[in-house]
This record gives sequence, C-alpha cells and structure tokens, in this order.
Amino acid sequence: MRWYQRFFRRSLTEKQLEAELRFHLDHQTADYIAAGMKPEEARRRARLEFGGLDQVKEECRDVGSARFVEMLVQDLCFGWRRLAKNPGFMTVAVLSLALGIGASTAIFALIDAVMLRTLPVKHPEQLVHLVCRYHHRPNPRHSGNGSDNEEPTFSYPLFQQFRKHEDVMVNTFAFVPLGFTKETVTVIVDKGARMADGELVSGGYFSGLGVQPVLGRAITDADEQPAAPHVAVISYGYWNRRFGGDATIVGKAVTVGGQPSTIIGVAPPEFFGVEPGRSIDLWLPLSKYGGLQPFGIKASDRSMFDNGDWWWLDIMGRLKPGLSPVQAQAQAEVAFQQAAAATLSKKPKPEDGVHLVLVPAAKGLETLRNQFSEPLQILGLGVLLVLLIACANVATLLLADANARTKEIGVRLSLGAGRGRLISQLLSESLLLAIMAGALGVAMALWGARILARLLTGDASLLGLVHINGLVLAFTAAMVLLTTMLFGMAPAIATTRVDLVPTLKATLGQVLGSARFTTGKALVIGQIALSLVLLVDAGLLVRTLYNLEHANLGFRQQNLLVFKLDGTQLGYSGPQLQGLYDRVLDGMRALPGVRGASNSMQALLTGWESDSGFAADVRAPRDQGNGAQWNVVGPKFFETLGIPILLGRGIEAKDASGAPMTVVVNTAFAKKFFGDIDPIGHRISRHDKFNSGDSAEIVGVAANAKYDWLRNEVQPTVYYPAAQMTWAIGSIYFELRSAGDPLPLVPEIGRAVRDIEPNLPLADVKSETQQIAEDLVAEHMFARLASFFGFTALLLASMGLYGTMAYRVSRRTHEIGIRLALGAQRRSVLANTLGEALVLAVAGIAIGLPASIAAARVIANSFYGVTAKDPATLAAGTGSVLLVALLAAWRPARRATKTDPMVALRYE
Amino acid sequence: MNEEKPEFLKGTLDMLILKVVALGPIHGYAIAQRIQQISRDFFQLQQGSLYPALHRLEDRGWLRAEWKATETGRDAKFYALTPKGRKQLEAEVHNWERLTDAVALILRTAE
Repeated sequence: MRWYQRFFRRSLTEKQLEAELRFHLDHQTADYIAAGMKPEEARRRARLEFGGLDQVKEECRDVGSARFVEMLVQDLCFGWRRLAKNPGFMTVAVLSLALGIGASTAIFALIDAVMLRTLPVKHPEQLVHLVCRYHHRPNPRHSGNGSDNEEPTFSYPLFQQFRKHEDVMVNTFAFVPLGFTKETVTVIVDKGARMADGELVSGGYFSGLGVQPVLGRAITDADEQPAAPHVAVISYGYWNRRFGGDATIVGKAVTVGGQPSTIIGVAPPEFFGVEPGRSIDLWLPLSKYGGLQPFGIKASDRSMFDNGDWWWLDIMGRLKPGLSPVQAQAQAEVAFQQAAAATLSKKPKPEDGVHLVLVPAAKGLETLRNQFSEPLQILGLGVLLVLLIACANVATLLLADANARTKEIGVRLSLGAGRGRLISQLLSESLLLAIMAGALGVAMALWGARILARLLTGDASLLGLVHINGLVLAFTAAMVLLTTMLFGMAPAIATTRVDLVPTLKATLGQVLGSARFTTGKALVIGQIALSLVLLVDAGLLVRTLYNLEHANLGFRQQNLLVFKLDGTQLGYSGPQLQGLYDRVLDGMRALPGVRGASNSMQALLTGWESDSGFAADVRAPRDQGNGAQWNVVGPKFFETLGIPILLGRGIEAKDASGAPMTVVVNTAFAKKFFGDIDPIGHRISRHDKFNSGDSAEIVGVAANAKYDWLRNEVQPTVYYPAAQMTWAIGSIYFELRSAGDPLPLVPEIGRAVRDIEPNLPLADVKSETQQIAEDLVAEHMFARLASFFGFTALLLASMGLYGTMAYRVSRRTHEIGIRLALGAQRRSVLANTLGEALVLAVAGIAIGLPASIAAARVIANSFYGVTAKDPATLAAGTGSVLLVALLAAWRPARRATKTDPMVALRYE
Repeated sequence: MNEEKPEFLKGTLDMLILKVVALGPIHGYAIAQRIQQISRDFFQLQQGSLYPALHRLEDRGWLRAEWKATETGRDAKFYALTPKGRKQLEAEVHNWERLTDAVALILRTAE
C-alpha cells in the first residue's frame, strides 16, 4: 500500500507485518522439521537464522516515507502529555514566546502594509512614476554646493505632449491632490457642507490603473474637456460615510468646490488611489474647477494649465508590455526631452543634467514608505531583541526542567535510544510550545498591529491597509520554526549529553550541574544586558518626549483653538474674501467664552511655513545668508497667542490696505539682519536686494516663537499684516483664546460662522495642544513602545534570573546544609546567594552599558535635549537592573536560608 | 566473511531481490529460499534483513505487493515487479557489469 495509506491504517499494517514475518518463520520451521529436526530444535534454528523478530519489525517500520510524519505525531503527543503535567511551566513559556512572536508578527503586518504590498490595480508591476532628476545649483540663501535633486511633478503642457507618445507608455495619466493638507474641498450635499479630501485626475487615470467602479462609471478623457459638465467619482468609504451607501448615488447632484457637479461613480472598496496611507474621498477631472486649489495653489491663477514653466502635476503610466526597462527608459527620455523643449520657456542648461527617470510604481508613491521605513526598522529591531530575550527565557526554563528528566533520559539512552532520536523528540516538545505561542501570538498581533498603526500615524489612515493576510501568517509560521530552533536546540543537546554511569546511580549531585549551568548563566547575563539596552533607550526616548512636550514654545498653547476656513471655494476673492474673514473675526470676538481671536495664513506647529530671501536697508552684521520665514497675521495676533512684544507694537487694525506697509519681526530676525541696532523704523524687502519701493517698515519686535516644527530652532521670522497681503491668503487659520477648555466651544463657533456664511464649513478644528500632540505622535509612539519593550525585557530577564537562582539553590541544598550544620550564619548564606545573583547582574551590566551607548548612538537623531551618553539615564537604567536582580534573587536566597541541615544532609 | 557481508550486500541485495522477483510474483520466504538456492548457499544472509529491504523496495514503487492464498491455503504477501522496478533492475545490472569490468581491468593490469 502507498505510504499515506500506511500512515492512516497503522493497525492493519502492523497486523500484516506480523503475519508476513510469522509466515516466514513457520515455513522455515516446517522445512527443518521435514528435514528431520526435532520441533523445538527446528524452531530455535529458524529463529536464529531469522534474527530478532522485534528488531526486524522495527527495521521494517522504519522503512517508508510516512515514518517521519508518524514520528513527529508521536513526539507531539508525547510532548503534549508531558507539558500538560506541568501547566505552570507551559503557561510561562507559551506567554513569553507569544509576546515575542506576536510583536514580531504585528510589526511584519505593518511592514507588509507600508513597504511590501502592491497597489490593488491591474498588473501593478507595469506602472511607473515619472521623476525628473537634475543637479541643483547652490542657492545663495542656503549653504552648500548643491545636490542632485528630484522633481516628481511636471507642467500640464508637458503632460499633454508626453501622453501623445504611445510607443513607450500604453496609458499615461496625471493626478494632483487638492492641497497639501487634509480636507481641502468643500462638498455640499443636500444643504450640508463639509470638507473632504479630493484629487484631480486626468481622463486616463482609472483606465490606466485598470480600476472599474462598482457603481456607475469612471472619469474619462471626455470629462476633461473644458466645456464638459462637472463630475466626480467618490470612494467606497466616502460613499458609506457621507451618503450612507445610498443606492441611487449615481447621478446625484452635489456642489463641489462651489460648482454644481454630478456623482458618476463609486470606486471599489479596496482602491485608495496611488498613494498608500492617503485616503481620497473624491476624484475630479483635471479641468478648470473654479475654487479649487491643485496642490494648494490658488485657483485664480488659472494660467497654471497653460504655463509650461509651472510644474505641479504627478504623472504615472503603464509601460508597454514587452519593452525592456532599458528600452523604455531610453524612449521615455527622448519623449521627455522633446516635450520639455516644446513647453519650457527657457531650455535647461546642459550642466544641470536634466533627465527623466521611470521609477517603478507597483507599490504606489513613496511617501508612506519614506516616512515610516526608518521607524519600522527600528521597531523591528526592538521587537527582535524582545523575541531573543523571550527565547533565552524559555531556553533557561527548559534547561532547568532538563534536570528533572536526567534519570529518564539516562535510562532511555542506556536502553539503546539513538541520541539523534531523543534530540528530535525534545525538539518536538519545543515545537509544540512554539506552535501554541504562535497561535496566541497571531491573536495578539491582530489587535496589536492595529494599535501600532494608529500610533505610527496618529490617526486611522493606515488602518485600512493593515491586514493579517497569508504572507503575514507565513511569517508567523517561519518565526515559530525559528524560535523553536533558537530556544530548543541548545537545551535538547545539553539534556542528552548525559554521562550514563553517574546518572543511573542515585547520586546525581553536582556532576551534572556544571556544564548545563554555564549555559544558563550565559543566557541570564545576555538577557540582563539586552534589557539594559532597551531600558536605557526607552529612558532616553521618554526624556526626549518630556523635553519636547515642555519645550519653550514662545507662545501660550493652553486654551487655544485653531480652525481653517476656505472662502475661495465659495467664489470669494480679493477684498470680499478679506471682508468675509474680518466678519468672522468680529463674530468670534463677540462669542462668550472667547477671550481673544486672530487669524493667520499659516497656523503654528503644523509643519508648514513660508520662507524667502530678505534684504534690509542696512548691511547685515555678518554674512549668514538672507533667508527668513514669514507669516501673514491678523490684528491682535500676538496678544491672542501670548507672544510678548519686546519693542514697538504688534500688528493692529490700523495696518490696513492703503496704509503704509508695515511688518513685525522676531528677535532672531533682528539679530541676523540688524545685529545690535534697534530695527524699529528700518525697512526690509522680501527680495534678495533691498528695494525701497517695495519695502515695509518694521514697527515691532516680537519674542521668538516656534513656527513650523517643535524640534526646529526658531528661525528669523517676519510677520506681515493680513490686510496688506491679501494676495497671499486663500484659506486662513483662525486662532481663538478661550477662558477654559476650547473644545466645547466648537459647536457655537460653527453656528456663528454659518450665521455669517451658511455654506462655509470649519475645517481642521483642533486645540493647539492637540496640534502639538500630533506633531509629537512619533515621539509618543517611540517612547511608549520603547518603555514597553524595556519593561518586558526586564521582566523576562528577572524571570530568567529567578529561575536560574532557584535551580542553583536547589542543586546546592546538600552543600548549604553542610555549611549550616558546621555553624555558618543563615545571613551569610543569604548574602552568598544574593552575591551570586549580583555577579550575574554586574556581568550583564558590564556588557549592556557599552551596548546601550552604541544603540543610543544609532537612534541619536530621534533625541531632543539628551545625548546618547546621558549619565543620568544610564545610571537610572543600571540602578533599575540591579534592583530588579536583587528582588528576583531574594526568594531563592530566602529559601536557601530556610534549609534544614538535617534534611539537606540526607538529600542527595 | 560474515562481518564484511552487511556492507557488501546493501546495494546488491536490492538488485538480487529485483532479479528474483522479476521471474514472477513470489512471497518473502520463497525469495529467501531462491537466493540461497541460486547462489549455492554463498549468501548466508540474516533472513530477517530481507524484509526491511522488501518493504523499502515496495515503498519506492519498484515492487508491488498483494496478499494472496498459497497452496497451503494460508495467505501470504506476494511481491511483483512494477515497470519502474523493471527499469531499475536493468539500470542496476548495467552498472554492476560496468563495475565488475572496471575492477577486473584494474586487477589484470595491476599485476
């Protein structure tokens, strides 16, 4: 019968084997009797010639490929029976491993979502993203020799030219998000106005990606024509959230960006665009949508569609199948150079080396990957360390357990069991532990991956991408096997390295102890070292977070509410826009609970800023370049935000349009451009050269306040009055200082704004504290995770130390008994045991300290306000490890002192 | 002689079994008898070592086994050669002949 049949019908196979061999023996016996031998003699002779019946049976059984599986199943059953008898050991081992396996699976699920997965479109491997590379000439504003730069966007005319070349790309399509931030377009549905995330796409987008809408149709080239009616395709999620999954959605009339539009289709649920991590609610044709801001540029400047020098469109395409990458690159280069020459007003200089690169885009655009690949790698490393510690722990447990089995192993070895067979059996037990841990770990990862995703981005943008799919499960299985080998191999080998004669005698004693114990000691020392590394790094990250959270912002962040309004989407512009915003400001100030209100072009600590080159009417004291940041703010900005004015005055209502141009600068600007001179009364221009005709007078100097990022040093900053810079303002941020917690005021504020302009929704509403917390999302995550890893590692290491000391004490009961009987103080026994534990801890610390410093240097970029060698943190880490080590060793040490000498002396 | 035999027999035992079975379906005991008969008692093999070999050959697909009744009325496990087994036999015989030729050549010229 075939091998699998043999496996499943074992009892039948056994019977047949018995029958076959018996047949032989009986016949041989019969022949000998026939030849004249006596029956017993014949039987004996036949038996002798045959060989041992059981041995032959065993050899027959060993034949056959089913054997391996049979043995494995046998071992697993045996292992399970053993483990079930020892539930405490099993629980501890499985939990420790599950922690390690679960954490690594969760990280891998994230890595898969962010870095490995391809877009849910047809043949993603054929997609490429166009990128222009050139050498950047040194900019007088910044120092350096220039660098190789990338420009991932192109002009609309160039796109038109390029897509004619169908020899290289079968489909070429362009897209651009509406604005850099979230919630950039106003969508009015049946009287409700809310903001949504939009993307402008060319006609070939959906067909180029091979995405079929689940309802209705997609955007085509016809929709891109200037005269075509406005249409929109919505995402599946948006369809559910905003429209409740309305089945009559196709053909529904809505207003998008102030224009009446029709919804023509719903995208499939798994489609999210070409940029993982970015959720798009609406896709709109790349036409001239009034009121929209492709890439945040004000729509009034519609010449961007005709301007060949204005590069703002992302272009992707599908390569012609059969074209090799080299050929495609060469042909695309030709097409690009032609299109560039035809559309640019100035030909690029040859030394700039402008050329096209086709970047494979199977996984979508790079933003998410670039943002998270480093944090994920660091996380992955931390998790692997924890996994190692968990494995070391289980290995120590197994080694301690091995002691209980020495007699059993000795007997089995002496009965003729092969050492290899025993090792494989012990490994099967380890495999069983690992399988159980793997199952538990997957459950933990399901939950942990989602938490991690949220921690990484601070919001739910990654959640949709994170699944436990087949690849992740395969990874878990691989981890299970890997950890089995890691923690199971050494104990299995050590356990079977048994010297038979002393084992079988009753006196086990110290003979066995030494070899196995050294491995145990080494493991504990390693665990202690690793946990010190994790603890120190955690401490440094926690301190970084603390420093950032308590950094001097230069303004008062408490009770400050920030929100964005965008009047341009409703058709406002110029003076009417300014008037609208002024009316909102007055309305805000009138609200009870609002102590102060102001507005600004850029909100603080969102990461956004504007910068430019400036020139003053005096020579700067030192040549430090002429770059500075600038913002446009409304009256009472500094008061509302709590930024002290050190000299002169802040921006006031009298800085209106028509009045002389004024600015306020901060201390850093004054220092850089004026040195010790009082800048009040002097003039500056926002150009590389001072031009008194286009300059403004400095009327005040404000204290330094943070602008874009918490971590960045405050740069020289210029504040312009909003009324004098209306061209710079499209959407605007409002800042409200409230008496107490600002968030309960939000509904009132919304109502007040709607009273002024019914279709104007609030966007990006948050308190400044929330805004800062968003800025610190990554630091929060790192600090929390590192602390979690550190404490888990320490816990595991202390368990390992406890187990080792307990084992050691039990081994030395005999010796301790003798010493006590000879008059040693119990105290000295305690000190002795604790001293041993301390030696292990110190050894671990000796290895761990330099390792911590080295590891800290690796992640030094993440620190703020602390260095890699920070002595306080190192001391704290070392102290904690020592303390925990002492605590872990305490109970075994106490038990040692309680040894009854009489019992111990009899114990062997 | 007895100590050397196990090494010597491992590969050739398979070949001998295949050769014996090639003549027709036959059970284990009869195979043992035949080998002894044909080799004129040269091979005093531990008869027990026959059975693991038979099982191995069956597992590899070179022999097919069937339980049939013998003349005595008792059931026995009869082995027969499969097409794969036939090919294997031819290959092994071929290799054996080449081996013996080569050894003979060396012995002759080494003199």
